[in-house]
Amino acid sequence: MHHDSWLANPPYLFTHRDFLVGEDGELRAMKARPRVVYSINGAGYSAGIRVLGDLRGSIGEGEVLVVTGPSGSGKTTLILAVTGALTSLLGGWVEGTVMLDNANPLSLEGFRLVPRLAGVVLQDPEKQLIMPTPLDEVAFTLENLGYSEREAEERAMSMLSRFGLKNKAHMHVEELSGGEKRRLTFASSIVHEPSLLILDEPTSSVDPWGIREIRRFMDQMRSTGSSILIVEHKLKYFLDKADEIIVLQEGGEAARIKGTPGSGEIEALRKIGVDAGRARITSRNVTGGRPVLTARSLAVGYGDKPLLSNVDLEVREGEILAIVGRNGCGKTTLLKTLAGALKPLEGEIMVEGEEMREIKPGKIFYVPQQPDYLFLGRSLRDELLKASRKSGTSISQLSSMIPWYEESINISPYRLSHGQRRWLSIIIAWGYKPRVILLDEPTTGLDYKLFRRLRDLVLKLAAGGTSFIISTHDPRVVGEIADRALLADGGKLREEDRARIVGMLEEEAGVTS
Amino acid sequence: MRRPSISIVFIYSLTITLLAFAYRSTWRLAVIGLLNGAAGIYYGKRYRKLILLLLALSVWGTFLDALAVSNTGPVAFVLGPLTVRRGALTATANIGLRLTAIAGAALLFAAPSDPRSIVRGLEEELHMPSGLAFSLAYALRLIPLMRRDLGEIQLARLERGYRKTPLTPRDMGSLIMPLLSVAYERASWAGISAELRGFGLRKPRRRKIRVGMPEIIVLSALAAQIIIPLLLP
Repeated sequence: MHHDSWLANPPYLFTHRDFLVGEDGELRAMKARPRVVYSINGAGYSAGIRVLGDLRGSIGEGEVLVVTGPSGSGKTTLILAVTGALTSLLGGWVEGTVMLDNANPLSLEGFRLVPRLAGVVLQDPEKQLIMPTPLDEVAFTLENLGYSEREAEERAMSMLSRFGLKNKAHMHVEELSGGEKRRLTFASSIVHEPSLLILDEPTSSVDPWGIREIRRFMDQMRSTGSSILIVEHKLKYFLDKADEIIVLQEGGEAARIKGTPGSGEIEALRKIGVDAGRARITSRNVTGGRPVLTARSLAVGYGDKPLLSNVDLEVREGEILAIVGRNGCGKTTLLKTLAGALKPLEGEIMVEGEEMREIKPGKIFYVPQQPDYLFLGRSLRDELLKASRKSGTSISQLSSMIPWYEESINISPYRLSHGQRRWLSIIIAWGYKPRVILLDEPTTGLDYKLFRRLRDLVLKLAAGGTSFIISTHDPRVVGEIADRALLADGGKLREEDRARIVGMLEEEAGVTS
Repeated sequence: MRRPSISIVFIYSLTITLLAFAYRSTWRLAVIGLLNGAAGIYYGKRYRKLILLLLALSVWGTFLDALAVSNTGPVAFVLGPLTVRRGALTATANIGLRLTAIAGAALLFAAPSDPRSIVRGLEEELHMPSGLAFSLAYALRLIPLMRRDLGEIQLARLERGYRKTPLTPRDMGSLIMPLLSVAYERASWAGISAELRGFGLRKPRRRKIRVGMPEIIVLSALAAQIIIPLLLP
C-alpha cells in the first residue's frame, strides 16, 4: 500500500514513477503495455484560461484509475483532454502529451482513432443517447466504424442481449427506466470491444441497484484485460476497484493514493467534497409540530395502473421526509400527485384541512429534478423580481437567502453553476411560502461540499417551519437531512428506520468498507 | 406497399418548404398549407400535440406582430378598443399557412422514419454530408425530449402563478428560454457522444435512389402542388 498524500506533505510532488520522458521528449511508460499515458502541463476551453494544471499519469492493461475531486476541479475536462475532444471538438487547448495505445488524440489524425480504442460513457444518459431505439443506438456505433447494416444489427442485438435489453430493442428510448438507459450507454460504448473504457461520473443518475450493475460490469471488462478510467466524486463506490486514485483540486493533482485510504484521508477527502466514506446518520431535535399534509389511501400512477397504492402519509410542520426507492418506482409520480399536478387514482390529500385538487403553490411547491424548468427570468435579479411579484415575498428577503446574489445579479439563471441553480430553485419555491416543499432528487450531481451547503439550507428552512418531502436514492439525504424515511417497494410505501435504509442503499450499491 | 425512399420524401419536404416561401397569394399558400398540414398531422401522430401547440403559439405571435406592422386596409372587425384591419388578417393567414405547410411537410418526412435510416438514406442516396444528415436525424430524438421538457416547464409555470401557455410575446420568451437552454446543453453533449463513437469515421456507401410506385405517388403529389396553385389567382 502506498499513499502520497497532501495531508502529510503538502503540496504533493509528482514522482515520475509511472513513466519516463525520453531524450526525444516522448513519454515511455514503466508499466507493462500502458493503455493511457498523459503528461499535461495545462488545458482549458478558451485561450488564456487554464482549467487543468500539471497532471501526469498512466493506466496499464487491466488497471483501473479513479480520478476524483470536488465539482469544478477539472475531472470532466481531464476526460475531454485525454480523449482529444477538448482540442478537436470544443476549440480548447492542451499543452503536453497524451497517448492512447499508439495514438496521439491531441492530433486530428490521432483523435480519429480514439473511437476504435476507447468506449466513453458520459455522465448523463439523456445527453449521450442519440437514437430513438436501443437497437439503433448500439448499431449506430458499429455503422460509424464501418460495419455493414446487417452485421451491425446482429452484433447490436447480441450486445443488447448481454445487457438484458433484447426484449426492449425496438422500444423508444424514452420508455426505458433510468437504469436501463444507463445500461444502454454502456452497451453502445463497448459494442466494438475497445481496450479502454472511460466513465464520466457513472453513478450520477442511477440508483444503488444501478451502481451495483456498473461495478459488476467493470469486473467483467477488467477480466478481459480492458483498462478503465473513471472520473467520480462519489469515490466510495469504487474504492475497492481502484488500482490507483488521483485526487484533483482546482485543476491540479492534490494527492495520489494506492490502496485503500485510511479514515483520516477519507475525512480530508470529505472536506474538499469527495464522498469517500459511508454515509453519516445525524439527528436533529424535531419538536413535532402540527400535521400540515395528510394523505389517506392514496393510489398514484398513470391510466388505471397504480405505481404506488394504499399510501398513508403525514407530514408535520418543519419535518423532513425522505422517500426512497428504485428508479421508476413511482417517487416522482407521488410528488407530482401531492403537488396537485396529477390526479390521484384513489384517496385524498389534505393540506391544513383543505383538499388538494389542483396546483396551489402557497400550499405545496414541487421543485423538479432539473432546476432549469423552474426559471423564467433573464437574469438572477429578474428571476427574483418575478418570484417576488407573484409570491409577495420581497426581493430583499429572497436575495438575503442567496449568499452569492450580489456577484451573480446580472447572470442568466441558466449560466449559474449546477449547485447554484439547485439553490435558486429552492429559494424560489420557499418564496411562495408553501407549507411543504417537494424536492425531486435534489442532490444529483452534487459533490459532498455542495451537498453540505444544500443540507444546511434545507435544515435552515425547516427550522423556520417549512416541511419537506424529498424523493431520493442518495444515502446522504436519508442520513444527514431527513427526519424520517419511507421506502417505496413493491408498489407500497412503508416507513423504515433511517439507519437501516442508509445501510441497505449502500449495501445494494456494493459499499462494504 | 413499402415506404417511399427517404431521399424522395426529403426532396418533397424541401420543395414544399421552398414553395411556402415562394408563394405570395393566400390561395396558393392555402393549397400547400392545408394539404400538407392535414397529411402531416395525420401521419405525425406522435408529434401532433407539440406541433399544434407550437403552431398555435407562432400564429398568435404572428397576429400580434401583424397588428403592429400590417394593420392596414379596410376594417375587418372591431374588438373593444382594438380595430383589426384586413391587412393584419391577411398577413397572419399567409404566415400561418406557410408555417403549416412547412411543419406538415417536415412531419411527413420525419414521422414515419427512424433517424438511422434517415442518416443512411440521405448520405447514401443524396450524398449529403454526414453532419447535416445526422443533425436532421437527431432532431427526431430531441422532439420527444422537448415534449417532456415542455410538460415540466408548463407545470413549473402554473406553480409560479403564470399561464400554462403564454399569450404575449414577452411571456413566450420565458417558455422558450428554458426549453432551448436544456435542449442546447443536451445537443452539445450528443455531438460529443456521436464523435467519440466514431461519427467522424463514417464512410457511407453509395446507392442509387430507388424509384417505384411509392416514389411516383410522392413526386406526383409534389407536381400537383406546383401546378394547381399556378392556376389560382
